[in-house]
Amino acid sequence: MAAFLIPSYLISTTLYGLLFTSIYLLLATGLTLIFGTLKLVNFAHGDLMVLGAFVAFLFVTLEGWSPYLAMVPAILVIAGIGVLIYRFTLRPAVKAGPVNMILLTIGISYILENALAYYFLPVYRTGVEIPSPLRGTGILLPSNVLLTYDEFLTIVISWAIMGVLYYWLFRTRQGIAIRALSQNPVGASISGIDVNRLSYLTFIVGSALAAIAGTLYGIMFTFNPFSGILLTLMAFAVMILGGVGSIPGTMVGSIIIGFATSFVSYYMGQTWGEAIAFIILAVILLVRPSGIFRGG
Amino acid sequence: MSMKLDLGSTFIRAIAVAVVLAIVAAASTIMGTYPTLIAITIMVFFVYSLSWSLLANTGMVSLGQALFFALGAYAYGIFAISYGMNPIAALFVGPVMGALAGLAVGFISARLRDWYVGIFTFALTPAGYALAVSSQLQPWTAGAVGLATPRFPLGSSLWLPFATVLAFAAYLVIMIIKKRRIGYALSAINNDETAAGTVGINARLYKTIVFGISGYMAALAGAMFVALYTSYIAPDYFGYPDISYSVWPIFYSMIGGMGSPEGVLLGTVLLDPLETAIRSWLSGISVVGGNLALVIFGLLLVVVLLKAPKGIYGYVAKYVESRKARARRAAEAGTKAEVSTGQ
Repeated sequence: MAAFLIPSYLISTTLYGLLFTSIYLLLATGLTLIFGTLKLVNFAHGDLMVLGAFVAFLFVTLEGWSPYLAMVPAILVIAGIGVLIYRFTLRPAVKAGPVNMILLTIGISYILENALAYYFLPVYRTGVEIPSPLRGTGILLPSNVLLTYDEFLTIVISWAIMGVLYYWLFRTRQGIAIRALSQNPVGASISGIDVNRLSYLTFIVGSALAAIAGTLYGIMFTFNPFSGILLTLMAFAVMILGGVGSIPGTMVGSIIIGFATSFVSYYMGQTWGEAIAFIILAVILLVRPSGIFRGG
Repeated sequence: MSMKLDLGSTFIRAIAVAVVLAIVAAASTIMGTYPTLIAITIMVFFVYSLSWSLLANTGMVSLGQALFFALGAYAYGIFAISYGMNPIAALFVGPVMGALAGLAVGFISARLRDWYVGIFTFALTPAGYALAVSSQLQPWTAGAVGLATPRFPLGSSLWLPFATVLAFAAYLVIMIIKKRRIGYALSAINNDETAAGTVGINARLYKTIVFGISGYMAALAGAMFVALYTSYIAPDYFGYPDISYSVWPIFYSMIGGMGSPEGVLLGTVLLDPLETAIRSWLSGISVVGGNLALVIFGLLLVVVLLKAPKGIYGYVAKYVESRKARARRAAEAGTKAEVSTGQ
């Protein structure tokens, strides 16, 4: 464990922990928002994220856009796909019960992954990364660790978006209405809240968050059509750890999972870094299934 | 999710299943080597789908059934290769690992409500994959390369009959469970776990046991798949990174009708050859044709879930029911008419 004490390792691992935290935060917030409000478990969430990354990738490589600008079409496309999925599959199936809903989103995940693979594999083969003009440049931290501008922007953008989202949910009429809907749909409907419109809005915001997370992830890491499963699972681990439906809980959950992933990957290898999230998930499910913060 | 789809008595249904399995086996044997191989996969996936629907009918949706499938496959291979066990013995002993894993997973799952079970089981598949490719277990699993297994000792003309007998045995196990105390307990738990608890049914215990049984069946399917079909074990049997191996049993059960083992049989017999045909046809056209085939099958699953949540068998059962009801009404009307004219 001597390596643990070397400052440069410690700083760069902390940095990666922050990066993972920021991306998981965006992804899991979208998931928890959709679950809390619509009572809908979306197993295709990570696939929407990867699809968002791929849309941004196409705009950057084919149209020469800046990756941060390419986030806009990614958001629009993924929000659009999200609305279509919600309108034509999930919404009609609400009556069918949780089992059918879970299987439906699994089916959708399967369709998205293989449809993406159909276009992706012949051209890009294994995996791609969104090229960024800022690559390699950054701020030099102590002990010769480089904080690249891309990493810096990822962290700033995700926490800024979380700030906006928090303001929206807790300070605006619309956000309060969404929270009312998540607590009691019937009561919300009686008090004159347009449940239908807000349900669509929630799904759009959730999908948009996935697209943003996807673009940022794509700038930092390599992805392929099947990356979505692991990301979905990570988001679920964060959501359950924090307490389903709770935004502060999601923040705490993503910090724990993000730093655990980073530190375990660094000191025990990537396989264990990915597995640690599920070990935490299993322990939480066993001892406290409602998570650290009870959902509300 | 509970549903009662009965077409005839248990005995008649068992005979019908035996006849269907025998016809599949006989017809494919006459048709040649390739159809025989397809028929073996039908038997394997029937056992596998039964293991999934057993859980689903207890209200537990396993999204990581491939964990047990792959454990069975690896245990079979490792027992046969590293420990020199007779492959026939390994085929039955290997799945004990699946049963043990099933009991462990069931112990936790029994304490969780509906969709948490899905996430928990789903999250286990990357862990299984990680173990299979890990360097520590490499001497046994051969890592990402995969494991080639020795030839199954029975003559190859006996492979399909052997698989058919195992498939029918798996069906009988499901039917026996249904007709025993445990079966009634499971269906009570599925209908209302709290109410089941008040009449003294230990839901957690039953759910754990059923996960163990399901784990053995899924692992047996995995071992059969390797022993009688592929002779090769790959880490992606864990349903990761491609979730296919976890999706197949869901697919066959839901489209056929998971409410009854006959529905699961219908789904497997109809869809497994269809899937193979479409996949090989599209793969001939393009290297990613296989992915396109999976898109088509994913769409089929979504459409069935939306339009016919009880599957094909549910449709047939409903049709037969309504015919019977109409005949009954007609008969009643007839006797009434006779009575009135008699007077």
